[in-house]
Amino acid sequence: MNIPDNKRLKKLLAAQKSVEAKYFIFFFGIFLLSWPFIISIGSKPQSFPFYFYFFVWAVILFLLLLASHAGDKDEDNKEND
Amino acid sequence: MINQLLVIELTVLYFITLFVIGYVVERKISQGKKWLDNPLIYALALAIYCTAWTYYGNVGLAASSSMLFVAVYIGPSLFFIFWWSMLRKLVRIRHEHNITSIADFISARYGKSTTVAAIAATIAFIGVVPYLSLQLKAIFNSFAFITSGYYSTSSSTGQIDLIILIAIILFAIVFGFRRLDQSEKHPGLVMVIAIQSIIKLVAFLAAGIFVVYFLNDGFGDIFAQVAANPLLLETQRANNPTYSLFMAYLILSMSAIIFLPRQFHMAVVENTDEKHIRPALWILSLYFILITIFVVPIALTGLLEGHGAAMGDIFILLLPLKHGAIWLSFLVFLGGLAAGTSMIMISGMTIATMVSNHLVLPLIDKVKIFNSLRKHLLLLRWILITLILFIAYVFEVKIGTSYMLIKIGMISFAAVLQFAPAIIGGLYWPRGNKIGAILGLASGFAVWGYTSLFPAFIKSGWFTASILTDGPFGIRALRPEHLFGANIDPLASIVLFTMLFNLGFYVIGSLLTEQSAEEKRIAYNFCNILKKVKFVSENPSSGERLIDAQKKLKIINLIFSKYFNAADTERLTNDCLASIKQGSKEKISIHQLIELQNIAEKTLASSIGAAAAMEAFIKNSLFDKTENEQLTQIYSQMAADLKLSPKELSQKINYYVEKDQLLRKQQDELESLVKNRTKELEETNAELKRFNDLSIGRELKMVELKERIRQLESKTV
Repeated sequence: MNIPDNKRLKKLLAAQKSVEAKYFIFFFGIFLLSWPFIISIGSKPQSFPFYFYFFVWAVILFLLLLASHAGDKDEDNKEND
Repeated sequence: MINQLLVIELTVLYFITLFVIGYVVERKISQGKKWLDNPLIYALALAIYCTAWTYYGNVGLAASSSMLFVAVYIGPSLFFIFWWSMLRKLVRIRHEHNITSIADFISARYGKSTTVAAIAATIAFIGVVPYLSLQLKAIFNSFAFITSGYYSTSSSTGQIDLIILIAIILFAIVFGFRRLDQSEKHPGLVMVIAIQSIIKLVAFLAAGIFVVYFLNDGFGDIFAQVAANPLLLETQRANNPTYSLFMAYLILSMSAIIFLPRQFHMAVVENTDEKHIRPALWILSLYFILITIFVVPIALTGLLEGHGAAMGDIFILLLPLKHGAIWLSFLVFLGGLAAGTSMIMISGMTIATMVSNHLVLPLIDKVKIFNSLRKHLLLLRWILITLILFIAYVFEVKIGTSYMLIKIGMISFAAVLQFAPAIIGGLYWPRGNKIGAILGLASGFAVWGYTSLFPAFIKSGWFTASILTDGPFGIRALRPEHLFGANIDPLASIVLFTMLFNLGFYVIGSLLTEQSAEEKRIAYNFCNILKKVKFVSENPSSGERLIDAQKKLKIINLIFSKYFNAADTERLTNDCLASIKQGSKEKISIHQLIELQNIAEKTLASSIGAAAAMEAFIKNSLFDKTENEQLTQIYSQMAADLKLSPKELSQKINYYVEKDQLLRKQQDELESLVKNRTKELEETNAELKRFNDLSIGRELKMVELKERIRQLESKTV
């Protein structure tokens, strides 16, 4: 059975996105961690970098939690198959 | 301060409790209990990353360099995004090749090369031993401070330091080196490390809560006090790290979380189930957040109370002690002890394994008068771990006050960064070869020595200080901390230039030289470990059984007997034969002989490393001339059957792997299509059913209406 080209394209794009997502998150994370330096950390209150870094860290933790949950689901599905 | 005798008694009690826990766990696990089989224990064991340097040093670093410390923990959390695929590969390879250490892994990937293994073991030894000194120093200093109330970078309590050191050595030997086989798990040790991770976290959190909510009115209050103190505010702002330094910390910590020998051991060798990796990542990330959240408040409170940043390392002990929270101070001391001893035990164990397998054993094999030592490998490891920890101790005593130990943590991180190209390339780039790995590791290590160790020696007064400012022989481009005139932070310069040389030589060396057939096979296996592609016949029992198993058994016995005692030799040999489901008196086929050689080599590799095991089996080959000819015939026949040359065969395999991937992809697409079609069919079916129900209903209604019309007509008539 032939798979319609547009669906194949969609699948390929989805696969590509999932690969790029990791790199996107990683480099965006690096950018965020660099942010206090970009806006000149010295001129900000002492509390700013503290709250900023722990906020970014919490977001990373949330993403890891999501990835773990998604991974568990994938593995459960595979085992059920 | 706390009574010295009381601290000693409680410390001894603490060690005894750990011994008991370790012993009970080992016993229960051998009885079939699965206490370690959960991601929480795995994550807590990985928290060995947080050492005494983390525990005390973070506060010190925050007092002197503001938020720089956060890069050491947030870096690994960000890098965890890639861990799932990478760590899963490492764990699979470890199971398939009985890998015992990071040096063993690198050597196994690059054709089981003894040279690669020796370079990797040397890097680990030179890079990590000073780091061990740092841990000992932190433990000894905290003990001296809690018992005397006096803090100095050279604090030492002499004999008590030695007692603590001996307790650590005993622990590592009893739970880490009881057996020769280092590919086996150490459940007692893992559980103890996990418990110590809980202790250090609880102690740090308790100290943090005390400082933030008992000495101050929360986080906001501390920051408000700093804002109202112009002098402190100005100092803090002036101490903010440079961007290049922050990035260097970030990169180094990302590599250290997996390439430090103790991290590799806990993450790869001690992993009991691949499924633990994903949850462990967020648990570990959460652990890092919790253990660092109170660092800045403690550092700022110490500074606000008028203590200098130079005492920052001890603020976490000083503040509770100063404000009368004696038991909290002891708990903090215990947390620091837990952090330091965990790191020392596992690092000492892994370094001793690497040194014995890849540096000492090749020497024993080559020099005839040392040959008899092969039978005493376990004893040799006990001596080595004792020696390594004593070297670290002497290093701490002799150079404890100099510049060296202050930055030694990051220098160690930079040393293990040298493993990154060889390991990552080895996992994802099949073309990466032995020559490339040797050139990369050696050049990276040489540049590391020149840019990080050499300046440390100069600052310790061992060489003339002008080398740092004017370069050797007045050549400014060769200034160790600003190589080629790079005007960036010295640590950033180390990262940049070591990686430039290491990666550059690895890639160029691999591209310019060819891999041997064996290397190609291993490289393919490592890079495609998740795909389960096999090269050898699936059915080893096929073929004519003409080879005398007893004869082969004697050769294996002879090889094993060089390293094990008589009982172990007998047991391991029989295990090998049992693995191919064959009695020793029967004949075996050539395929079974191949299988037997693989199993025997792997069994030996788990004790002495892959490179040394391969050497041992090359010296005493299981295959005689006739069997070698048979083997050649088999491979020729395989190639002839396929009508292919070896090169074409390799291309064909690659083609089939790609085809397999494509088929899997198409299978997924088809499954999704079938799901969509099924859904569409179900919808259509439901529509038809609804229409059918409606149609039947209308028919009945019409019949009913006709009946009524008929009745009405009859009435009208």
